[in-house]
Amino acid sequence: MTLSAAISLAPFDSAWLAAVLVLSTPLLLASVGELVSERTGVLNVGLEGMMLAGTFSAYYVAYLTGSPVWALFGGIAGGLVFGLVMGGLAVQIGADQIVSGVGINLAAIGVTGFFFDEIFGNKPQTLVSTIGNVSIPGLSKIPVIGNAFFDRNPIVYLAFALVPAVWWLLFRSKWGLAIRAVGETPEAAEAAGISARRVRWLGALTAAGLAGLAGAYLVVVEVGIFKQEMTNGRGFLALVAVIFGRWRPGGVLIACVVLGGADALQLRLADDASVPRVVWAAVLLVVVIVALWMITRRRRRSKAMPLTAAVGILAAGLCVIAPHVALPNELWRSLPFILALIVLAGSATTARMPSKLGLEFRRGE
Amino acid sequence: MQDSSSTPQVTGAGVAESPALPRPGGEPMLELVEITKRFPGVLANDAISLRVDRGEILGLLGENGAGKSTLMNIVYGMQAPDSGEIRIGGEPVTIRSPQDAVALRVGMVHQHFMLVPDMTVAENVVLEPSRGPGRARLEEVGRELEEIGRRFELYVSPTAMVEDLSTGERQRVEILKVLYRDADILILDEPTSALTPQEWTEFAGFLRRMAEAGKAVIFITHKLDELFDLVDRCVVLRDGRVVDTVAIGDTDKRSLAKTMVGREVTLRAERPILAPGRPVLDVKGLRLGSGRHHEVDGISFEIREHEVFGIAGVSGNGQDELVEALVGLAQPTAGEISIDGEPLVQHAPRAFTAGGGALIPENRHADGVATELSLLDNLILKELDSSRFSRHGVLALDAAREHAEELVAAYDIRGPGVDAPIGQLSGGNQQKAVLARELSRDPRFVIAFQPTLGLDVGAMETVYRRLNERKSSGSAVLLVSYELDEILSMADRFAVMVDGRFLSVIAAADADTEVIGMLMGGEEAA
Repeated sequence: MTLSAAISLAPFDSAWLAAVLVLSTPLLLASVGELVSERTGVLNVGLEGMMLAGTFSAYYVAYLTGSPVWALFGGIAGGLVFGLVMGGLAVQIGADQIVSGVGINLAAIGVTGFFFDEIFGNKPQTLVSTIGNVSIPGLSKIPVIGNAFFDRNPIVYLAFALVPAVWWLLFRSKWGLAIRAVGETPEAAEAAGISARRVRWLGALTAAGLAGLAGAYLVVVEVGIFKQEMTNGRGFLALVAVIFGRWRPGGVLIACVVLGGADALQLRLADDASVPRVVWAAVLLVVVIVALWMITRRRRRSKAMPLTAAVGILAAGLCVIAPHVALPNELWRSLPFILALIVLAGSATTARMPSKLGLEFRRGE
Repeated sequence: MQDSSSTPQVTGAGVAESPALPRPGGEPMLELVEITKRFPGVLANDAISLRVDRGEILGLLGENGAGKSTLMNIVYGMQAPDSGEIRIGGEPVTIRSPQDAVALRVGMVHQHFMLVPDMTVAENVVLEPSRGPGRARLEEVGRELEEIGRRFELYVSPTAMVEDLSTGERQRVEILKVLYRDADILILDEPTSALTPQEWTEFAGFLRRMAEAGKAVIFITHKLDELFDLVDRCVVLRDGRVVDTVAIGDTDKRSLAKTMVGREVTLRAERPILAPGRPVLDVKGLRLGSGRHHEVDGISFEIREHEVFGIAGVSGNGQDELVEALVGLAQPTAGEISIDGEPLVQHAPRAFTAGGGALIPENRHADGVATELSLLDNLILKELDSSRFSRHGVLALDAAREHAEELVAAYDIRGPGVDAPIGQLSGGNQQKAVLARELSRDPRFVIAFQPTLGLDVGAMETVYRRLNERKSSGSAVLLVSYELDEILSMADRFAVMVDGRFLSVIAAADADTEVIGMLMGGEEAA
């Protein structure tokens, strides 16, 4: 019997940890790409659509080839198709980025739905083969976390490895300087001989490709099937993660893990009769961490402080009383989105936002 | 005259010979031969030739729109010339992009800072196109920058964020960018517009050191004082042509200004002496701000017809707030403003305009014009309420257009036409548009706040002439300026404003520059 089971930390056990990793991976892939894109000044609202295109094309490629690896490339290609549309509209012509993005979201729903009906409409649902887990020798034998962290599929490792890679790209490489300069002060980049348009194209395509990969992940790793609109808002969560992460790779990582963690939690709790005491304790723990962070960052007098205190007291009370609360399934399912909404309202700061995010740049103005 | 048949006389016509007034024994670093660049509707550069030698600081003088920036953008590879030749060290070269220019050791400091505020000094310096992601060698660059800084007495911490730097320090970063790339030819496009006098002195010293170190410097400006401070030789551009190349030692400001503008200019406006009429604007005990600190602290004055009243003083002594209170943008906490004896009840810009007030604001782009709107829209912006250009809320565009065309002709506003966004006009022409809109309404009084900020000599003269015209036709004029010369040449009476108060009201005839300077520094007159 493991240690976690002994003191009954369920639902926060090894299986939950594993689920956090698995569920944050698609968010992480999409939001890291979006981070690069937003750093170049391209706000890619079409992330959801690109992800959806990725799911469908990955499913179709897997269906045709039977190879989940090819399916991943298929997913990237599917995302890139809409990336080209985004780049063409927002970067090349200088159309409004938000309008272009919304258009892409709507188009992706229509296009994937149409092709799915055309190709698979009257066939029985086919399960495509998925990618299995790769256990890392040695590490996977660590108690509690070993199995959860080091016996996962390779895309999980890739997604988490992307975070330091993108950090290095943005803050230590010449390309990163160009990317950040274009997002902040495109005219300065142009004066240095950098083509702002080319950098923005690169940003838009990076976001699209990674969103496509994130979409493919849903098919090839998680479920093996395609459903209409199966991305189910994950693209929008990834957009929120970039804001929550304050446009920094480390921040985006934390945001994705928090959102993925909420998603994993709702999966575990949705069918429970009552909310276990340990969940309230976890909420209390999170509030304490947030409060400590605020205090160390000398933000004691922040307006959010009384609110944090109130939530903390409430959580402490619930932790002691542990009332019988049975929430409807639907409410649990929307937990990540409720969390995203709170994050957006709470961290609605543009302090670290790239100055030219969402704004068109034309040479010679 | 037969314009079409006459051949223009161009220096060194036809022969590819070193142009215009070479210094004896000079070693040419950069030569431009008959550079021509045409934009739709404008000949921006018309066969321009010039040269700059090793160790020389060459001035390039011209009004806004004379073609200075276009010429230098061509040298820096940001625009391609239609014809002409560029030679560097005697060799003809082709410069297609800024990278080409950098490879040829040409460096440029742009008129506006080309810095990324969110990045460090070192990051700004290494910013360049790169084929691969490649590691940015920030530590090494930092060390090199410190070395350059020591050599040229131009220190900025490589790890400082640009957004935390002062204007003068940012200027240094721009120079460091150029020096880091080993530029031998430095082009500086109006680099001083944002510098304080102290920073300018420092900057000029630095440029001299650069020249002594054997570099060639092209210094673009429209400020005459700076040229006399710094350069030996100066090329004057007008309407896209080189009109003269002068040795600074052989000329004076007046004749240089005449060469630049193309006609006689008065550097100091002639002040018409008129007998003042009835009082127009009467301010009593005006006070703004609350608690212990008052931005405007009990100011009283009166301006009469045919009178220009000046407010001198250093920036930030309450001038902004005073003007805001007068035009109705800010609510005074005490005091009274009367126009023609009628106390102003309602403090709102609309009441100010309706009462016959006109404003030439300090910040043209924020308060003077709506840059995205057309010249036409800007010209009628303040008359939307009148029945002149609208019927039941619908614009009478024909009448508006006719009115706009008249103003364009009367105020000599030059640009691509009344339908083009006003942001495309030069600063001087935008200011002319503001003058046209404000003064054509035959105002009772005019508030001019730093009306010549950033303007060249020709446009400055227009502003002074128009204000004096208003004075002659009976308006009361309030001139708020940080330029003492402007106040002395324009105002009949003026006050020195320090810390929200008027120290003393002086008649122009009694003005003593030294005493006023002391007053502006906050010392009471003995």
